[in-house]
Amino acid sequence: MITPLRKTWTWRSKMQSRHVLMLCVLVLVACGQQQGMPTAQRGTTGVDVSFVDDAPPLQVYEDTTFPVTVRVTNTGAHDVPFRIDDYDSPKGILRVNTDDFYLGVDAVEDTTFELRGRSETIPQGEERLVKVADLTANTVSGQRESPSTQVFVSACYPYVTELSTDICMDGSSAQRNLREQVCSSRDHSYSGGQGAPVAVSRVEVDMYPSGQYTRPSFAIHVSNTGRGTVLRALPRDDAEIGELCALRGERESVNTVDVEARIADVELECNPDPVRLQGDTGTVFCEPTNEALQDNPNLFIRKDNFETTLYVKLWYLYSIGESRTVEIQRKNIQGGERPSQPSSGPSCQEEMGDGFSCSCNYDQCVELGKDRCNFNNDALCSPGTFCCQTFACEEVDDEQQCRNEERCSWNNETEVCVSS
Amino acid sequence: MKKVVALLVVLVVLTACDSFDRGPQYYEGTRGVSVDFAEGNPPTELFVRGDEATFNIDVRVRNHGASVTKGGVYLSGYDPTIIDVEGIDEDRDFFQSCRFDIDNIGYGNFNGLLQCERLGLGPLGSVSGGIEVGDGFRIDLDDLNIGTLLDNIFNTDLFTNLGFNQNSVSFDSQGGGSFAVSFDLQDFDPDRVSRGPYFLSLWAPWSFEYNQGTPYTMQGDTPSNPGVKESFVTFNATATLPEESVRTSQPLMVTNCYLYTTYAASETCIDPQPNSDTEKACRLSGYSSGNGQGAPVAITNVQPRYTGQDIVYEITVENVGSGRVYNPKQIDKCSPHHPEPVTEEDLGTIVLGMAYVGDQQLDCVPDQHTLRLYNGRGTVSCALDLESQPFVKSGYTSPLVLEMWYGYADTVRRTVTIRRV
Repeated sequence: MITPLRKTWTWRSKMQSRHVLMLCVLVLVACGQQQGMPTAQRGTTGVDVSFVDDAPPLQVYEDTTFPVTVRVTNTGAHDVPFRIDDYDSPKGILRVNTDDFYLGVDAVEDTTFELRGRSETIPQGEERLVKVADLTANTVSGQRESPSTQVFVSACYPYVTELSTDICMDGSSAQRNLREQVCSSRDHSYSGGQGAPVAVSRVEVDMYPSGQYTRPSFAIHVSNTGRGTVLRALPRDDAEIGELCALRGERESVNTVDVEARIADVELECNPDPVRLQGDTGTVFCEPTNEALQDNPNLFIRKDNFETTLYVKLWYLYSIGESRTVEIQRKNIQGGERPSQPSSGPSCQEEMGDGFSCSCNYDQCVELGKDRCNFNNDALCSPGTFCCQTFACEEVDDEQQCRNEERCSWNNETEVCVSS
Repeated sequence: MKKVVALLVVLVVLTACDSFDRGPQYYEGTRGVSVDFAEGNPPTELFVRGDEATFNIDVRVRNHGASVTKGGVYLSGYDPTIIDVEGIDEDRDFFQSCRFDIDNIGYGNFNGLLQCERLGLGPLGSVSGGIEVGDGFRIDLDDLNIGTLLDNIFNTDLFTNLGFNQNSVSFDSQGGGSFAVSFDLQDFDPDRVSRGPYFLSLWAPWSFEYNQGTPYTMQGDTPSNPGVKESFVTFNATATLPEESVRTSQPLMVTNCYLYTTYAASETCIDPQPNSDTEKACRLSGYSSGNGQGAPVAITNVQPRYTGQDIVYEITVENVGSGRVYNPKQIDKCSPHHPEPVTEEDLGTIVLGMAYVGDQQLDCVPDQHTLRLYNGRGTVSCALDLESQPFVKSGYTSPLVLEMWYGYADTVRRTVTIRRV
């Protein structure tokens, strides 16, 4: 009698264990999803660029044109351009840079872009493919068979970092007070970023008495946590983005960010502003002015501690780039070295065919430099010489010129220059 | 099977034992006045449509203990730029710092000085028959019915019922916010005025409305008025989210400050010759209790000791509640809005309001009127001069009456998450 009962109990136990296990799994999965959900205000990235496959290709032939297309993503918390506090930021720009010895750019104008950041509707942020330029590989000169060069694309864009964090207005920190309080002031560290490439990494909080007031003081530590470069503080005027990104003549503004800070609804005075990042970090000190203390006694005179919000905004131009090495291959891989071209001056625009020939005729070659002409179609051109079409004596109608040529002789009967 | 049956039997016995009806247990327990938030008010999540949202903060106040109490509920911890509570923060300038100095506490009489920076005495003014309240005035209450006066102050009928009639009480303005308080109860009966009325009548000028409090007065759980007393305090609040915020969390902390008493009366043996072997009606013995006296501060142990001329009672008092003991003379500092910090002197001090054997007041050390708690525990030694007792050679019993007066504070918190929709 005992055995079946025990079996039943065991079976039920197993079922219960399974249910408990399933419940645990569900809870864990649910928790994992919640924690893994992209939160707009977190992260250390903003706009990023990367080349798409084969644009540019890793290998190109000389004298061919190819597109450069980049994938631009905005995985930060803000749009580009953004609108904050009635300020409309400029758009971002994309620029392509090449070594013009190897690559020619068809269009040199900057490409502007607009990208929406992460939000509830676009949890991953917006992504676009942008054709930045068409590049043409120049004809390879010299002895290198397949030289390499880099194609560099950079995105320069305005961005803002916003931090809103609970802090304790601790009026009792300056004096010993045994009253039970809702909170006490402490320093705060932020490791996950604020959905922007520049982050507030730490806020050190200090409260000190100033007459009858409690003056909060914040040391705000800023760091460049993205893989790009902070170009400069973002002036809130109508400056053109291209000019701003060029950083012309403003060395003092390089690598700086503008800072705005507020506690509750009181603006704080920050110093230095803008703050310069050195080694990707910088610190700015913010506190309310004397006037702010006097104008807000309900915040700065009250003796009971309370939680309020510290808002920090950092405004800046940020630049991030991507490069790809492109190998340029000669077209005459069967005939050996291709005809040299003069680097400047009169040039014979060659039209290479399958038979390793040159379109320069005799006169053109002579004009380029007779002593550097190579009329031998079957031979390889040495460096510094021009491959020209084979000299044809019949084309020479001048008797004296014909007689001057070793290979030709003048037929007096027919009065035609012929090969000798 | 035998084990199971045995277990069941034990369980049944235990359950049955537990269900023995001992009847209501008055004057026991370790709880005083508790506060908690009502379900859903305030909500833990508040949605703001448009600019702002209104909500209520309902605080339930319950007196579980045996003492009449007078207290105040204070709300704090929130950002005043985000949450605006009606009646609070409107006049943040109105802080009141008061101090109560006791000159003497005798058997039915009391002299003290209440000093406040700015004392309005609104409650007294409203019941003093149109007498203008101001500096330099004197309210002579000899001809008034003090019970009615105190009941009007406390909005109860407690004092009339307890026989506060034809007694002499005066609140004498000394100017500059000082008030001399004098109290002389004829036909003083400790048992009638114990557990709050005597203590609170002395503290009558003090109001918990000072320093942004919402006052309350509640009777205790007594045989004549059984049950936990309950009342609600409601704050009307408005939440406003800052422009760029879509969500913020705000803590709300309710601080409950109240005046309370612990009363213990037990028979004690007065034996001038405790070492003699003669047969006696009683012998010197101690008293100890772990159940409390229906208050958050308990008299846990009383040990009498014969010294030849005196019987010295070593009295141990402990904070057995969940909160903190405030010096009742500095109960104003319990308010989170009080401008001055709370110091060690403001905490852990208890006034020894009554220490009698019969009608003989005991001499107590280290202080006649106060005792200090250290780590929640304090002792006081009170001596009964046997020479003042009737000359007897044998032991006899007499009531040992002890009443502790103190302030007490508890806090509760709730965080409200405010979201924009």
